[in-house]
Amino acid sequence: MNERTIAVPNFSEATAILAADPIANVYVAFSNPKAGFRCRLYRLAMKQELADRFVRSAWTFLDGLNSELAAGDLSFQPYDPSTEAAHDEVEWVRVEEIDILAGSVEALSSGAAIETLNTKGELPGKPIFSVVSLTAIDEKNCVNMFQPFTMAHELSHRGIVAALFDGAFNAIEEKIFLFEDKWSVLSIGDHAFVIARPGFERMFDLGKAVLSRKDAITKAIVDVVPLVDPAPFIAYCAARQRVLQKLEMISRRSYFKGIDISRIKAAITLGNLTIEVVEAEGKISLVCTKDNVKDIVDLLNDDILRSLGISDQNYRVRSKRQI
Amino acid sequence: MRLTKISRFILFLSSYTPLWAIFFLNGPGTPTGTVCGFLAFLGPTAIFFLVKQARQASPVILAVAKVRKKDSDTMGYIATYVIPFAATKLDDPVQLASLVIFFAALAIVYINSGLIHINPTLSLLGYRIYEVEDAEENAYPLITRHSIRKGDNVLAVDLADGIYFEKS
Repeated sequence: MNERTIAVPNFSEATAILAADPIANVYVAFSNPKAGFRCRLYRLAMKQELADRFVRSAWTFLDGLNSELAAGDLSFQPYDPSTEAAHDEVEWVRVEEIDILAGSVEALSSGAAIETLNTKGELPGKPIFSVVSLTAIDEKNCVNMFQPFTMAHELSHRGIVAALFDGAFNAIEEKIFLFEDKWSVLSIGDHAFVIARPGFERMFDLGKAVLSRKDAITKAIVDVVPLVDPAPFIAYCAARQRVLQKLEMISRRSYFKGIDISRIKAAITLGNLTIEVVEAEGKISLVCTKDNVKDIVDLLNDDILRSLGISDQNYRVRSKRQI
Repeated sequence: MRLTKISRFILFLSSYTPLWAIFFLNGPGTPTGTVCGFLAFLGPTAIFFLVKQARQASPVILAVAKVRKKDSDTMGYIATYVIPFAATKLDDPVQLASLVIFFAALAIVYINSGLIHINPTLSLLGYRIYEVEDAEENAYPLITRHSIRKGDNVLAVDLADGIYFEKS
């Protein structure tokens, strides 16, 4: 996720589509590596009545977000996995930056080409997420509302599903899917809005994706930050998805590219951190141990901050936004 | 909506409605004639229910980038698979057995090959067959009562195997 200079997106386009009497289609994405696909969408055949309920549900959801926005209780921030999002923040990301999301949004733009799910027999793979796609007939774009979808959402997969028929319970053999009326991600045009970050990261496999880039990510850091022995640093970071996400963001920040060891050394002193700095043959390096890796990562992410004078305390922060 | 194999079989039978009507007229009162009369009635009824079901289903938008008329496929179907059997003598057990065997084979091909849009009864009821392509060059057969032009956005329901029916 690069630093962005474009205008902050908002929900106005989604509101316009929903106001234009859209049609709704629901898709479920399945993963089946054995069959050769990581993510494939299937359309659910639906009655118009159910489709209309999805439209109403989407309206209610978007209306809630718009109300919070109008009351100033919601703000937009670019997606940044190196910091925790606050409850009143909606993060956004460019669709093209997330492979599975980009592929899904492209497929959804020609929904007719997506195969209808055959509900007889086994499902085509492990369900990953469901999407409610809303399209107004004269609009080019569609609003796609994603929610994680697991086996737990296929109720008929969980044992015996029974319902009351004429005063007596009987088993239901048909497939029963549960769709919640809350969504984790909304995509509109080129942007996606992250309503619930855990669902977003799980659906689009961001954890696995960052782990696959661990060598490049750790290299980008140790190439800039001189460490006496980078092995403990690499071992610690490469095994942790959250830390890798943080390091990836650090490596993309403008301040990091020009950082020099004297600034790091000064920050260690200011922050009173237990990171040993050694000098050998005119080269200053940090001594990394398994006990101080976290401090080094937090330091590089500028997560150790100082009071402006109110308390004169140093703080380690989990979430911060630039003023 | 998703058509079951039984629905597809009924649609196959409906594609022979003109033939059933001819057989009925050739042997009214006979058991074979009665069966054919029932089948001739079943065809349009099946299509009526198909249309009703399609109207209750949620559609997708087909953005038409290219369009081709495919009514000639129906003409070809009539010429190849319907007319030659019009002269079959139903009171001849050998001819009747041959017809049944041929029908069974054709039914299997028809059901499994996604040919449900090739149906003379649909044409008799005023439906036209188009092949439309979207901007990504995905092609879909489309059954509709309207004229389709390039640039149209059509609300259509997937009947089966990517065969679309305009929901008007």
